[in-house]
Amino acid sequence: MLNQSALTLANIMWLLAGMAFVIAPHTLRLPLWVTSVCIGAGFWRWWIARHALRVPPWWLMGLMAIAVSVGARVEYGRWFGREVGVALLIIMLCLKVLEMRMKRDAMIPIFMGFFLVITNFMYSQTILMGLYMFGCVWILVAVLIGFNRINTEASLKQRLIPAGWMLLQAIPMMLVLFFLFPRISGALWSMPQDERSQSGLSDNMSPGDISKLSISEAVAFRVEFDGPVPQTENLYWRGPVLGQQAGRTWRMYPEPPVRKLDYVPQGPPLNYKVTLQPHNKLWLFALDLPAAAPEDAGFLADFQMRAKSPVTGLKAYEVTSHLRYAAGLNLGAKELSPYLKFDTGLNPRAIAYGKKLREETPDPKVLVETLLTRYNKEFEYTLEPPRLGADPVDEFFFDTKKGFCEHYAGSFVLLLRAAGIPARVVTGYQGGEVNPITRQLVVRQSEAHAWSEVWFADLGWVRIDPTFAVSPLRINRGMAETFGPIGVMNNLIDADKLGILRQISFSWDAVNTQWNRWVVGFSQDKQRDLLEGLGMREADWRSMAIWLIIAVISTGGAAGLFLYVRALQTRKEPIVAAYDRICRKLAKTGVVRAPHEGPVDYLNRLHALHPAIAQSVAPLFETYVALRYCSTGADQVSRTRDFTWRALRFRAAKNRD
Amino acid sequence: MLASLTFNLRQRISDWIFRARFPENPPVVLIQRRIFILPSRTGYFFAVVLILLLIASINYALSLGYLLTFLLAGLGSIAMLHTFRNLLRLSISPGKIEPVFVGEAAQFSIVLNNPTLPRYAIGIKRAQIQYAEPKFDDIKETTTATFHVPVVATTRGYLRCGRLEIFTEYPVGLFHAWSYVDFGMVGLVYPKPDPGAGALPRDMRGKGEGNVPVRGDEEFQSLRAYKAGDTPRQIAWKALARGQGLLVKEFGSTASADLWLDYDALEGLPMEQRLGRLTWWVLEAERMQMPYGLKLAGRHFRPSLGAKHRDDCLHALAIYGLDP
Repeated sequence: MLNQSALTLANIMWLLAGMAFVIAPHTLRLPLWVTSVCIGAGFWRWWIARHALRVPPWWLMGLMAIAVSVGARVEYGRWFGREVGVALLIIMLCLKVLEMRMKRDAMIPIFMGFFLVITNFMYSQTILMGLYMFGCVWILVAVLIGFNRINTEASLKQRLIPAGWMLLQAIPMMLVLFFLFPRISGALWSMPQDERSQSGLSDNMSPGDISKLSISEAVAFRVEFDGPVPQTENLYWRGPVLGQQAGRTWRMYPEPPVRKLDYVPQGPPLNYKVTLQPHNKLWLFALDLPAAAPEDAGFLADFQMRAKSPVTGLKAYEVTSHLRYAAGLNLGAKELSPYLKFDTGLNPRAIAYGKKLREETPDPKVLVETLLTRYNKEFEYTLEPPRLGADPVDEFFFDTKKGFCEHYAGSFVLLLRAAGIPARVVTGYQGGEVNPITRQLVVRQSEAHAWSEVWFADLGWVRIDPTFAVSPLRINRGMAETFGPIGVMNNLIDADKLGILRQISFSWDAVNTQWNRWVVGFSQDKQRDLLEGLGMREADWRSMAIWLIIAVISTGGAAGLFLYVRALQTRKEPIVAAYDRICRKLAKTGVVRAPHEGPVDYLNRLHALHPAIAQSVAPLFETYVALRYCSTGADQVSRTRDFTWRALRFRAAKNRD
Repeated sequence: MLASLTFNLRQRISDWIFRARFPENPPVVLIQRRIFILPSRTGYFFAVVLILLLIASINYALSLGYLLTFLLAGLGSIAMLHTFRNLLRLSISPGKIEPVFVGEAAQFSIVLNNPTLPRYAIGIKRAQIQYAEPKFDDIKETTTATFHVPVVATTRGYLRCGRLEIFTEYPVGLFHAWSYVDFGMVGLVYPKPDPGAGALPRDMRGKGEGNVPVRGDEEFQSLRAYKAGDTPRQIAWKALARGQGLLVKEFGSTASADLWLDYDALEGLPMEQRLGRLTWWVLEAERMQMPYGLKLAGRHFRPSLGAKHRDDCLHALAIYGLDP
């Protein structure tokens, strides 16, 4: 018999496995030493359990806790924040597991494990992450069940099956609460933002620093158009506008926010809805040029649309854009001067070339034409350009002549500014792929792009994409079709253009869309829509609470009834069930066993009336009597199983005499 | 402090609920209205964790966080049903209680029959004792398990285990489900054998001489020829007068050289000590396979040997002077 409060090796192993599964996704972001501390603590704990050693003394635990806390402070440079909080939580969890003495102590790590599950959702809320974390919760519940067994050890089945059952039974209540629990929008408190956030776009650009553009197939945003999807060459999704050149880097000017955008629409408005993946930045994407910002967003003078708080969760917004416009017609020299500045300290050849160009061709439009022609004839589009040295534009424009959008946009704008023509770099996304199932346009990180805007006195700001001059296909057909071998998925799609993989890819995206709509993006507004759909107009918290209580009680009641009915089903011992089966078959001969009649008496009675049947059934009866009343041998189980099988095959009618 | 308060509260509640129902007739089946359920300490802790998870989900607008929180909330409510179900329909009957000596622990056996699905981590403890040591066991599908609840015997006579609490926190430990049962089970406690009794009292043999006089209630059995050394008191003078020669009367107590353990013979000692010595002698005589009889205030056990005789004697010693 085990000590009731003792920690068994199996329970410890299960707990460690559960912890490992929950922590695993974090290790991609955690510093190596934190991961090492976790693994070390896990092995130490295993060693303690394996050899029945004592746990480390309290002072050693305290020292370790202080050491790792200081380590985290040094690593992250702060005490509070998401990243450092997660790291500290993980370390403390591992130390807690290490110092567990009794079964009761295991509750804290298990419950902290649930917390770690939620911290994973801060980084990813995809279907796969959801499924993986459901698996983690399943394991944690299984661990909990193992710890609640007393005296006996739970087997793998006895852990996972009840845990799975309980979770399945909890799902109806989860759904009810998920859809009906009153949602609050907005944060209760705000944590300092971490700088280590990653996104497809950044707020600066340094052409030539990166020699290989890593292309992510992650979705940046999805768009639903009210009407047909515009042509690919019109799909310029405006993001950060980089007007300031400092050295080799392009940055944003600190633009003032504006109430209304200064441009004249020259075409019909286009309405669409964007569902943006979280990127932790302020910018929102809209087609050139947006007309009105959503409620919680505003504009900058350079037509950037920006949210009021960083986009940390899935964000859906409706926008109207005008694809044809005349913008910035009334700008004066003062407003344009920032777009003529350039760093004279480097790229002397390019600056000289720009100046020379202006002298040769005074008409800005002809000048732009000349430059684009040059790009078209001499340059090559590649995602793996050579690295550039001290004068990146010089080297790119005159020597290497190979690059991608950043190189073209950067060099083009610099040359124009040198020639005295106002110009700026615009970054964002270009293109997108229509999912035929959802009819949505899916824009991926691989479609991140940089182009330029040039100001002409009669036209205002005009979008000119030098990359288009080099590789028109890039714009017309989109990234995925132009540059096949940029990702595994695209590779496969190229090899099988009209085939099943493409279909799978679109279906998966459709599933993701529904997931985003109903799970990740289920907000206060969506809840209001849903409740109105259910016939609850102007749902206030009181009626919501009543509905919630009714729904919770009914789902709980249903689960309770289900369990209760199952508990009432009296089970017969297998051997009795098999014997009853034989008796039912024998009853067809007309000799029905009386309720009080024992097997021997019944067989005797049968002998008198149907000797042949009695003879055939006699060995079964003997086995039954032996198993039921005499034997407790080791082979009881196998013999019972054999008896059950024979009872199943027994036929009374065939032996009728 | 809190533990003591809740214990007292539970006592009061259970006393009120079972006002006049005890003792009950076995078997007792744990039907739904006999089972109580409340969150355990872990359960309250879990509730706090759920609130924290909800706050985190709200603050970071984590939809999957909401899903997790609500899944766990659902799990908590389902756990209540599962814990309840772990006791439901268990059939309880009293088992045999072996007598013990004072100072030993009597094992009150309780037989739990499980007519349905397997039950795990079922505990039994004495309900009226705070910090009673519980006994745990699993009960497989359609089987019976016997629990032994130990009660230390401090005085001889009848020993009661009182009301029993059958409880469980399985499967996840968030809820404590329990039920009370009281069959009025009584165990027997023999007096503590007193080693101070020393060797078996040879002098108690009915020879008439010695510091413990043999009373005249022994039965006359037969006459035998006189041997040198027989006391003159045993000579059958009447037979001699009839001319039958010198014969000696043999009496029951002495005829087969049997041992009589006599309560009254231990004059001068307190009652409990007398009983302790007699108990010691009963065990000694049994060990030495020497037939013995017991005289205990009007109750006589003829000299004999064997487990039944021993138990009868010890039983008489155990309940001597007590109300039946």
